[in-house]
Amino acid sequence: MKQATRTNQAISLKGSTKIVTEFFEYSVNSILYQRNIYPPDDFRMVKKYGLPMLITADEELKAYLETILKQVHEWLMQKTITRLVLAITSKETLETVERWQFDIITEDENGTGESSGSAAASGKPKEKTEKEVQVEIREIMKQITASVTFLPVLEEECSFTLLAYTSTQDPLPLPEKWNDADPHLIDKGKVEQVRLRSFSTNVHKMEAMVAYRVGE
Amino acid sequence: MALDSNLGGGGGKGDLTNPFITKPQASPMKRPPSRPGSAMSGHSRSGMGIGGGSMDIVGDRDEGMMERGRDRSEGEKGAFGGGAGGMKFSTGRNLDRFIPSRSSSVDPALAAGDMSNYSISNDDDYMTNVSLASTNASDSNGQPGAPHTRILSFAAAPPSSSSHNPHATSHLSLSRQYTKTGAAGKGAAAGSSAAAAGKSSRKFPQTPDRVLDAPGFMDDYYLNLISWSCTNKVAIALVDTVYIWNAETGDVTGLHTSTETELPVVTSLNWASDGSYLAVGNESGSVEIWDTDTAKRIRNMTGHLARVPSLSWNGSVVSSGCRDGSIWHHDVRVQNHKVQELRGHNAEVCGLAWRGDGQFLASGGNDNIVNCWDGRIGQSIISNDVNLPSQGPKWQKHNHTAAVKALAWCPWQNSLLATGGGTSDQTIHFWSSTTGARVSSLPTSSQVTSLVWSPHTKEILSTHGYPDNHWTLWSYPSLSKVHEVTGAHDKRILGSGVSPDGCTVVTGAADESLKFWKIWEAKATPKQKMMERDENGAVRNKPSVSMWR
Repeated sequence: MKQATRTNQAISLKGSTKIVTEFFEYSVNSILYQRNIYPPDDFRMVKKYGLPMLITADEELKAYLETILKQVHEWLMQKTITRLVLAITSKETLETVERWQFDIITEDENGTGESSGSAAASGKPKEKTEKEVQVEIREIMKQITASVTFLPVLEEECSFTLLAYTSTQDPLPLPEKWNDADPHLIDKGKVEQVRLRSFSTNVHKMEAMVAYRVGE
Repeated sequence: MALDSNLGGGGGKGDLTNPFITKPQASPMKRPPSRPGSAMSGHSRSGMGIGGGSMDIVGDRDEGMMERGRDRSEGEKGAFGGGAGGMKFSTGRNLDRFIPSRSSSVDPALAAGDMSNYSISNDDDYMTNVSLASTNASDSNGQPGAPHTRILSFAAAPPSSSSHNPHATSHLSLSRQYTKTGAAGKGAAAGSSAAAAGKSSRKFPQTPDRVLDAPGFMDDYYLNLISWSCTNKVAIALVDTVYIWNAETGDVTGLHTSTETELPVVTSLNWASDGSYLAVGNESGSVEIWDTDTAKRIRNMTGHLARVPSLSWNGSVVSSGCRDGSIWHHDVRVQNHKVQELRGHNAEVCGLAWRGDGQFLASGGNDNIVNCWDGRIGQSIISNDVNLPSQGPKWQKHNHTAAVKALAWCPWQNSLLATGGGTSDQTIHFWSSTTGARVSSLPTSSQVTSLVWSPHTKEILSTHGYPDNHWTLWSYPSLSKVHEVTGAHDKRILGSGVSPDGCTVVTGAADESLKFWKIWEAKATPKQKMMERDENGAVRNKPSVSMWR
């Protein structure tokens, strides 16, 4: 039976992975633009999710993000990634000043009787159309854009790091050029966090949240 | 209370003492019995999450993700059922679209308990995270099949932003450079100190690149005797003969007609947009079309009763302004060449300029009027000479106080038209062709004899007459002076033309000389290269004007 569900989901997992990866691409770009990690004129506007989204035109950065997202895509397909974190760090002190966290919850898997039971119990709306998902993503994107209003201004020059949290039954073979990393937490006592909206496909549930350092 | 819970909550798991969770065991959790250990911790954590709406970072950092998600969704239900934190929870969950729930300041009602809750969890969280390795190890909650959690990051650092990186994407840095110089140019005009900075980054010519003799160049303000084609040829009229100077080779050809003995004085000339034909207006009122490659006159279109001092091409239509104040559209393809007459001036039409897209024609006259005409010729092509549709101008302006000879459409702002007035006016007005509104005005020190917009920068060049015989480069829209060469010529400058690459301006003056000034630099950004290619492609693809002979 498990086998059967797997094959049934194969396509939707693929589609969902694409949606999630795409979401990462646009949200990361959006954050890099909104938080001024890269100069604003490096970004060009594209229409996506019914919103004007900004995508970097910097070839190097583009290639860099592409490499990472390709790996994330792979992990999503393997259902091993549980969280993606975009940490914005000060270039000077290397302190994390902002931490965008995207939790990925792979639904309907690795549960035996439980998942089906809970799905039935909660009456989960099955077969979400892509359009509905897009609407949900749009809301997150709007929130990311709007979050500039409450996030503190980044005064120092900043860089960013993308962290992937993986969780596997067996130790994950490290892909080339990936290393274990520090979680890039913000110093305790100085942190405030805001939960953003979430979206879900039939396979993945994505929950976004931003933590940021506040002044003393 | 907070302290208690903190003490109790070792490793973020012992939050059973949390004040918001009264009876964790009694709450209707839908947790299957398969994982008793995590069920407890999960529940307590979810309870915390409910209270703050924000605890998640903390509680789950050391937990497997799947577990967490399930915990939360179930935990919410559990909290409601348990009743302890239910009310608070409901407020926290009501998310506004744009105002996300902020952890520490969501609801004043939550304040005390919530804050403490928050900080507790935070501490716990932090502690557990600090010793990440150990938490990872202990993460399993004693379960044998617990997942291995790893935090991974890509080894390479992200590329630094291109502004600090010399090897960054070239077109970006170029365009940045472009905007910078543009800003510097503007700033240069604003203040004298800034002007020095602006000048240092850009060289302005004080002397011409090249000087050509133009013996017999007519010293008549109303005539338009210089035109530079897109094929890089400069046409200049010296009394009764037109000479073509090839800017690439330096060759000069004269356009002679051997048949006529006494030639009328040439009063205007203008290159067709594809550079293959030259329209020549003369004193007798006829408009001639010349093929410059063979140096042959192809057509002679007569009809004007007085001299033709201005010409402008638009596709296969050449428009001629006459001394009697009329403007005619000549369609060079048909036998009855006169397809429309525009009456809007009652004095010599000395300035005529089609907008690049052929939508509007601007004309300036000795009656101090600027007219803007709708470029559509309407039914006139099929109507005969007797029954020509006549139309008034789209808008008419009387702001100038002298003859308007200098007219120029802005290449980078379609609707922008600049017009310059004669000796008693000395003003450049900027108009919006769509609304007819005067956008701005710029007083100068002398008569304005011609205007050239820069295709590369936001600048406009004006040439002037007595007393300084100068040309001035202005930035637009700030209208500040960027550069000026006084005494550019010994006598007043009468006309100008711009090279097809948009870098060099030729000025012709009453001192019977042509001077070439290299004023602008072509910005070779890929985008512009592409645009240039497009333009060239468009020119190439444009069907060349077919002539009725």
